[in-house]
Amino acid sequence: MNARRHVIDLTCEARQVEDSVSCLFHTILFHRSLGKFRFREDKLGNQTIVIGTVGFDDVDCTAVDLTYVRCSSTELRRAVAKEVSPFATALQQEASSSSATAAISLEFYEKRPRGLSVMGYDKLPWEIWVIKFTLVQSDTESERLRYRYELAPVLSDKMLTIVDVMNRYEYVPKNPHKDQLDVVFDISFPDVQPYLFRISRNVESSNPSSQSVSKSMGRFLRDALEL
Amino acid sequence: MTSLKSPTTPTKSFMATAAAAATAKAEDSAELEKYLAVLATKAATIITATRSSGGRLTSNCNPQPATADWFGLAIHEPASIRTEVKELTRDHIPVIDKAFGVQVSAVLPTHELIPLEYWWLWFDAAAVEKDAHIRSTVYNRMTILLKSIIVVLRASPVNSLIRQNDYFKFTHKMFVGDPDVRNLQSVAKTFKIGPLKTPYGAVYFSGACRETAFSEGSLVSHPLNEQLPRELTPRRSVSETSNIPVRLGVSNKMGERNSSASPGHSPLLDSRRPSETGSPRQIRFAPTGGPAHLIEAPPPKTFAEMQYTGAFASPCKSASESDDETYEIPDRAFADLVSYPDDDDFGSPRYPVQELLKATRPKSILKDVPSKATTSDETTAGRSDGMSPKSAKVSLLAQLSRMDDDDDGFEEDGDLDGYSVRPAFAPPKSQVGSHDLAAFYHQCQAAPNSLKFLEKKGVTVSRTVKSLSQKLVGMESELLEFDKFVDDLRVVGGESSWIMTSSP
Repeated sequence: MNARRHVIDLTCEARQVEDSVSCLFHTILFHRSLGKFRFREDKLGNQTIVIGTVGFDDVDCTAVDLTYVRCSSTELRRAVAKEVSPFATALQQEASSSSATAAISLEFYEKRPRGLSVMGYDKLPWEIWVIKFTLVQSDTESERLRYRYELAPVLSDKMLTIVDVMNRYEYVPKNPHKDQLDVVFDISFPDVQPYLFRISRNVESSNPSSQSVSKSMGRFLRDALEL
Repeated sequence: MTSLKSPTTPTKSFMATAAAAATAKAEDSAELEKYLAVLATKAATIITATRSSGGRLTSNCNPQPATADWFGLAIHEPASIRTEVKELTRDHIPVIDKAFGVQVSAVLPTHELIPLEYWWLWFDAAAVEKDAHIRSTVYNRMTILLKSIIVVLRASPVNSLIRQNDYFKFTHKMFVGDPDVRNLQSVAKTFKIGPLKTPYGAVYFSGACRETAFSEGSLVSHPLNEQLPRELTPRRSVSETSNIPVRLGVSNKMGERNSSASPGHSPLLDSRRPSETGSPRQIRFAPTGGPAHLIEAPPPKTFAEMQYTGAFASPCKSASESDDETYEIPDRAFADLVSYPDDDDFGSPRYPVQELLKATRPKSILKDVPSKATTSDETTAGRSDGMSPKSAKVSLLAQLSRMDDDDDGFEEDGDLDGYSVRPAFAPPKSQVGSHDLAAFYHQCQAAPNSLKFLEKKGVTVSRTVKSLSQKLVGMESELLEFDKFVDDLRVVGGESSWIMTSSP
């Protein structure tokens, strides 16, 4: 099965990257998160699932005139910020030296056993969201304000694109059995249960080819040896 | 006979199956109607909470709820919303029979309503998915639809207007039937989520928002709109409305309330002519030309135009009267209650103070008129025209004004028994003897604007930073002129130095 791949291109300043990525990733994760599953067994031995409730809150962007919604889960917020903040910081450092392009991806996957249980699991992605950035530099305050005002409708359109994709009802892993919940869902969060996901980042600067190859090899080895 | 004995005959089994299928279908239909009723209530709750003043809707995750929330989302609708939805949909099946939606409007200080958005759920019986299971598939899809509604409401341009606004109030009104988006006058953006297919049809969620009052090329400005300079305002074209499934001509049932103003009556909604006075004064509608076209932003506001009008204060000056970035310092409050040399009450020649102080023996210029109670001009204040001895006081300038050439500025001894001072807030001479509180009250009402009234309410740090950015942009635009001026100076300086060096 091939994963669905959605690419979003953005042109913005380096200081707007964190807001943009957070806005889009949290919009996606909000749709791809469920409440915590609790399994109950009644007197007849029938098993029922009680799904918890997902809360949400508004976030006002600092570098863009936009508000977005995210799950009101502290742990999920930290997990996303843990990957997004270093990416934005690295971009800001690269942007100061020369024009840079970068990409960050949010990948939903499910685990498939490799054969023997000792061999671990393969991560098979079923949906990939890639955000590609083309950075610009603003020298004057007027340019900075212009980018601030212009990026908001662009991000709004991207949010609507995400909404449109989510409502196509394409393939989504089915709810597994109680014992195999961690094959499909990330059960490490105490209050929400998103589908298994990972965030990968790639910052390209002066020598893009060597960096991408090394990073790809590193990722391949990491996935192969992960148990 | 044998055909009546056995219960497993094909006819009976077929009838049993058909009856079971009909029962299941009826149950599914009832489930779908119930889900749609709850979906409509939840959507109305989300829209009304997001579009209220402040525009925030937050909730906490609950991994172990006592009772499962509908659609797995922490959306708790107030009883008023639930009651209102039930009342509107009591005689039909919500969404299926008639569309259900919410209209969001802005309330002006004159209590006029300007519709800003329409959001509604509607049903299309043509798009069917027979295999969709109501209790699992359709229910999960409705969950995603609700999440999408929450996201789309933030993506709407009106959301930023509501979040950053503390001038307008916003109200909502539920309706059934297709909305008349012509009330929006010009539609900037449309939204459509769906189809959510069921065995009986498809559910859609649509939205339309007004172009003015929020777009970058906005024609409506209000006191807190901080607009970019003309050259920085991005140009955006108005999106088309072709994907709105609006069926014009269908009458709307607005429930028992119908408080929205008719577009044709309010001068503020008349796009053919700009509102001169406006209400509030800073709102202006520029005439719209017709179909979609590029819209330029109006020129940025001056400081005088962005003033608030304080209580009891005179109306703000119009843009044509006030200078750019200047503010006329008003007279002191209650200035006319205090006498000055230029008061007409005295009507006598004035003497400069320096001359009056030349005498070696300075005279006491203050006299206690009531203590002497004489008719002498030297002891009475100003003109002896109706001033009661008790209230008549001699002011410095009144005394000085009575000095003639023979008067060397010295008082005769013995006349300096006391002094009289005109008290603060004392009425002018013409009104001495009349304690007119009404006059004093009217003068209080006519007091000039205090600087305090000019302070904007609710100024936050972010707004202050924004205003500073705007000012910096303005300064940067003037940099070119300054650079040119400096260059000119250099050229002139160079020429003069050349002249100086070349001169013999």
